Amino acid sequence: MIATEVRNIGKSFGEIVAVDDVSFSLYEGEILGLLGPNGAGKTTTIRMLLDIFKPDHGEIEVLGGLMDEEKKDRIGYLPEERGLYQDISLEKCLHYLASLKGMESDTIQNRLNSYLERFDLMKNRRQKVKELSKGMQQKAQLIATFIHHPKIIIVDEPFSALDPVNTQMAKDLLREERARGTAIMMSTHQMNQAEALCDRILLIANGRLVLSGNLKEIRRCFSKNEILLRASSPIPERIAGVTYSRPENDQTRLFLKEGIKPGAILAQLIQSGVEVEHFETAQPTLDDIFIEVVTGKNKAA
Amino acid sequence: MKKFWRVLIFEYIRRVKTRGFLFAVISMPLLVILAMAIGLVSVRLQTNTLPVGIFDQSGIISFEIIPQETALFPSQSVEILEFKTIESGKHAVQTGDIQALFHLKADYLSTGEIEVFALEKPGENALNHMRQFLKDNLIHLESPQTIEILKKGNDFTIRSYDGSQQANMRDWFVVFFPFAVGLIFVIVINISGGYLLQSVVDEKENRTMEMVVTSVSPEQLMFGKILGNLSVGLTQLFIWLAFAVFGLTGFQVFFHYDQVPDIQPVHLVILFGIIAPGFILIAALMTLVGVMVTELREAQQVSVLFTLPMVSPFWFAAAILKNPGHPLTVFLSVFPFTAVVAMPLRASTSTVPVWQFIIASTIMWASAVIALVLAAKSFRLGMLQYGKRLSLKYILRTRQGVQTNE
Repeated sequence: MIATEVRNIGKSFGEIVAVDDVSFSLYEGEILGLLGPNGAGKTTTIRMLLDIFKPDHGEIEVLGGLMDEEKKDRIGYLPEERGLYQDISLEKCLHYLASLKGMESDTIQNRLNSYLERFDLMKNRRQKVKELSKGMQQKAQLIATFIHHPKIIIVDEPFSALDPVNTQMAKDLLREERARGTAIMMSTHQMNQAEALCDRILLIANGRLVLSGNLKEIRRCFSKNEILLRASSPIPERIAGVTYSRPENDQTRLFLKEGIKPGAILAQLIQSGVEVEHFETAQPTLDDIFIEVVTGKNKAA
Repeated sequence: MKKFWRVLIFEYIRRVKTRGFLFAVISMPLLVILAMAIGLVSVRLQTNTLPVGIFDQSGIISFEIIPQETALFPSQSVEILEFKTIESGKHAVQTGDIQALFHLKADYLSTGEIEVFALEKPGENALNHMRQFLKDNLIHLESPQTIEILKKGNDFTIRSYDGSQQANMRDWFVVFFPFAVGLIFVIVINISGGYLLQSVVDEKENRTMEMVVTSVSPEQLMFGKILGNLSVGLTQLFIWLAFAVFGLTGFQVFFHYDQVPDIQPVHLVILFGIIAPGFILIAALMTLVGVMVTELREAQQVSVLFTLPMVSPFWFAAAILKNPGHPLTVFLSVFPFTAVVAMPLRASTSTVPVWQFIIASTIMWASAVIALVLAAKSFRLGMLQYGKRLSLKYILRTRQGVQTNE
């Protein structure tokens, strides 16, 4: 079910076109990755979704209608830069932010205790926010995003400043929310995180949507005829159907000629007595796709 | 509406529950108490409870008259002893039996001169007591009516030319109120404005606003901030006033002062026609400045542009009071930034024409509304302008929308 429907939105600031004719849907129970280089229009898009900016043109439907005060309470937002009150205690800060989402005090306190326990911040709850480390503040920001159990969550660089343990915890939280049916949009520069979490991605460059779709399909679409091979015996220098090869860590990357099937190469290797330990059709990483699309060598385009 | 109240209460509580606020609240009464304590100690140091003597050659002194008590405390009262010769009096001074001898010569009534013999300056309590004793003796010679008037003092009532305004000088409140209103305005707006400025600048720069406006509208946030921070200043003021009332009550109990303040219609006109919009105007301008700049110090410097004119009528207070109808005084009392102080000053001692009140109030409310609209617009435009200054020209020219940092 569609949680947010964006139709042909655009936003300019003076002569600068920040977002140009962007359309997409965000579904319940999915994590949608919003990717793009700096200044691509990601933040402007997010701010329009959150009704901080009004689009110059186009329409945004949230939870079946236009944005209103009541719907704001059903959205959780984690900005890229931490937005917490610095001079008050962590507990008070989170309590206040939750109260602005229409929650009652008792409910806030119960959920807050549970989240503080989970994020190992219980002992820090009376500390002023400014006294907390960046990682702790990021965890607090995550709590502020999740505490009211929103139907839509928009997170901008959710793992910044988090150590691997807390990154995993945050990922688990996002996955739990997805399993609960929450629609999640995640903007990030960390392609590995996007690959690990996102069901679909949107790639924005120069304010325009340049790539969107299911991650597997996109990968297949951008896939080149390459093989990753690891063997316990020497690999022949010349293999029929391979243009050239290149060592890559403890493996070798084989670049196949157009039309050559990987299976044929495997058969040839076994026939020639190579003891194959690992044979994999190489998929492009999201990083590769990102660079390719953004630098203009867009295969899909 | 519920969220607006939550913003307001949050803004209020977070300021009030700080050490800085508590310090500011108690510092003023403590300073007053300290000043009073120093005064009392100083009086105490100038007190000498040894008896004083009188050698009277003028024949006007009657020792049957008991003088009105002038000492602050009973322990400071002094006994007055009569001496039949100047030598015996001087001897008593030498031996330390009395602190001073007051010699009234035969021609005292024509010269008014009194010789005082003492080893050191007599205590202030002794001098005051002697003055009162002499005064009581002198007026004892007059008729009962004269005595009554002299005891009660004179009662001046100042009437305006058209008779619509009058102020009894004994009713101190009539004169004091407009002065106090202007002063209170300046204090409250400086306290609240400072908090408001800090709140807006800090939250804009640490990006809390971006979080908050995903839950509340920018207008709710702005008005919540303005009223929340204004309430902080008012709380501080009310606590000070409570101390003042407490002090005055004590003053009345100790000194049997029984004047009761009397609120007049002109006070209400000043409050709701000038002061109320004045608060809104300055608070809105503080908000405007807060979102336009990037640092608190810069905001404070810019805000001087309208806080300085606000207090300027106090500099010309004497001229305003002396020439309440002068064109410059009239201008100051209708100009938005000076009216909040100048108009109450004028109204304290003269009759301000009704049409001038109407003009001043209209200008004040119009300015307040314009400033609020401008503040709301700049708030929307500037709340996400991290590290960037907003020009007034940009605010005025931009129709709607917000610029991004991207």
